[in-house]
Amino acid sequence: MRADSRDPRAHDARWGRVEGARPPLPAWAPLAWWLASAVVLGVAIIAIVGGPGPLDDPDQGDQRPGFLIDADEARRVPGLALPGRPVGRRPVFVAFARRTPGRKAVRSILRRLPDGFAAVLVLPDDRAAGAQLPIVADPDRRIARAVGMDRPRDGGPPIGYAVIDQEARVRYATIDPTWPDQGFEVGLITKAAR
Amino acid sequence: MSVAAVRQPWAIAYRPLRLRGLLAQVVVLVAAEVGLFASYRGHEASFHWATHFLVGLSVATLVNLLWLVLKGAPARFQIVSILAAHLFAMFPDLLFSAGIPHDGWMDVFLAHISSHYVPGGAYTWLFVALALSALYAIFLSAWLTARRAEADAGMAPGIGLGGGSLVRPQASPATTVLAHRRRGPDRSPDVLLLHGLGASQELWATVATELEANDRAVLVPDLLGFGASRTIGTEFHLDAHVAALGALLDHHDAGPLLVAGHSFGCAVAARLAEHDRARVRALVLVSPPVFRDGVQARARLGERGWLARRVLAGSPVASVACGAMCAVRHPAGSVVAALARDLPERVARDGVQHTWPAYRDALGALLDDNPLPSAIADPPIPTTVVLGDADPETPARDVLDWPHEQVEVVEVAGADHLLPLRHPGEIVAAIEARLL
Repeated sequence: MRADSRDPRAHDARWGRVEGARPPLPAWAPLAWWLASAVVLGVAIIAIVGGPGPLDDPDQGDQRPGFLIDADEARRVPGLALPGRPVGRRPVFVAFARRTPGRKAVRSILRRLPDGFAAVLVLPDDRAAGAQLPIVADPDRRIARAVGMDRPRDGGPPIGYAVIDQEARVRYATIDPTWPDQGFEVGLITKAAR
Repeated sequence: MSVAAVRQPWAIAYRPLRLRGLLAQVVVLVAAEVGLFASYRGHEASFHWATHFLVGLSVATLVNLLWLVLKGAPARFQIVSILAAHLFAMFPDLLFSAGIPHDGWMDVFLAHISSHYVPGGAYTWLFVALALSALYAIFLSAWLTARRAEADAGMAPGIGLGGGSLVRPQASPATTVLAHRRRGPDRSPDVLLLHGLGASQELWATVATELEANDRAVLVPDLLGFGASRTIGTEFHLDAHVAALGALLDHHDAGPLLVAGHSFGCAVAARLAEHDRARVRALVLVSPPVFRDGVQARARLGERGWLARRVLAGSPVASVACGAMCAVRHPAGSVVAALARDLPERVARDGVQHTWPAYRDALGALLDDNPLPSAIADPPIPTTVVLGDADPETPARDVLDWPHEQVEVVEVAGADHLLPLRHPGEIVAAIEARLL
């Protein structure tokens, strides 16, 4: 259909003089929208992310990455001495803590470990007792260094865990102050490393 | 059906900006993100939510920005696209929940692994997201300003315009005359030369020079939306071209003159003769696209190349490709000039000096509003048709097989579609014969 130029409606349509020809938003709207969104988002992100806590990894990207280190690139720790569970004979879950975790949480973690996995709890000293898994004291952080545990922000002993496969390769090592509550994650990582 | 109802392309372009739709999207986005955040927080992984949300926001904003630049109009679902991008970015976390640990290949999901290792972490992504969204807001605001100015100037808003026209209002053809060149003596023009699709006045340079040598006053414009006139007008149907040419002829107090058109320019010339018979004393139609029906029109126009085929198919790829060309118009002109070595450099460069709506509407006019078949079968004024017998785009037989007894036909042996460039002498002879 071709508009007849003598039709005033056609003229209006051609030159835009009809309802709807102007944009439905004023030109300042996107900038105002952006400003409001930027303030809300900025505050929200600062509140949510904050900074790493004293027990967290200084580099948050290294904390709980969720993927195993490639077998070819993983550090080998065949000589690492852990009580009763020679590394390299079976996969080992090595948990690091500053004090003995609650029995319920530990029981939950142990239940998640695949069959054949050994578990060891590394504490800064040997005063702790009452855990449901072997405890080894690491006052000089020899074990933490051997498996590549980062230092937390407060510079104290690490809280987290490492997973050593049956070839004595460290496939996973992360600072994680919440590890006793991360049964699903620990189960998934240990299962993948088996 | 009212005229206004059929001519409101801006109604579609404005749909993504309706406040109600935007607010509905905000509600969906906020509700979904609160739920996702709660889920991450439950796993003590709030900063993972933040990183992937901000990456998703950055990518969605970039896509919306590219859409605006390439399509010349805002995208639909701009706000929920942030949620879509976030869900895509966090997909490996869903796999993790299903028992699949992360792996390096999962970077395909918007750098799901690597994004955590950017220096500064989530704060860097916050900066990137805010910078990109600020850029988008500035562009959108400038686009709104330009479209508002066009509407206020009495024009339809320029939807689909690329390049600088994205953020700069088009000049009104009611107040700005077409870019043009005057040749020959300073008197009322004897000849008006109209170029075709994807061309400019440069196409007529040799013909105009020869006519000038014959003491003819020649007016050679760039048609609305083409060449140096690409910053004029927002609508490019034949009537808009005729109105703009009328303003140009008024500007030069032009009396009755001969109008010569090439290809699409023939359609404009024929419509001008229909509208203003007193002003057009004769027509010379060079390589006119005379299509018997839509099927033949599509077949012939499709021979103009890939872009024309995409336009005819109604493919959005066409507008995106044209928008990309607009964004890099100057270097694109150099590339075309380097590739089309058989054309004069200025003609080749001007091959990209047009807007997408101008190209689209010109093709659309040839499909749906082509005045040439009737202008040749029943010419209102003395008319000569010049044809090349080796022209694949507008074959001579299209005219010769059509009733053409009332027009004079000149067939140039061995000539292709670009008759004004390759055979200017024959064109000048045809024009001079009509001027005598």
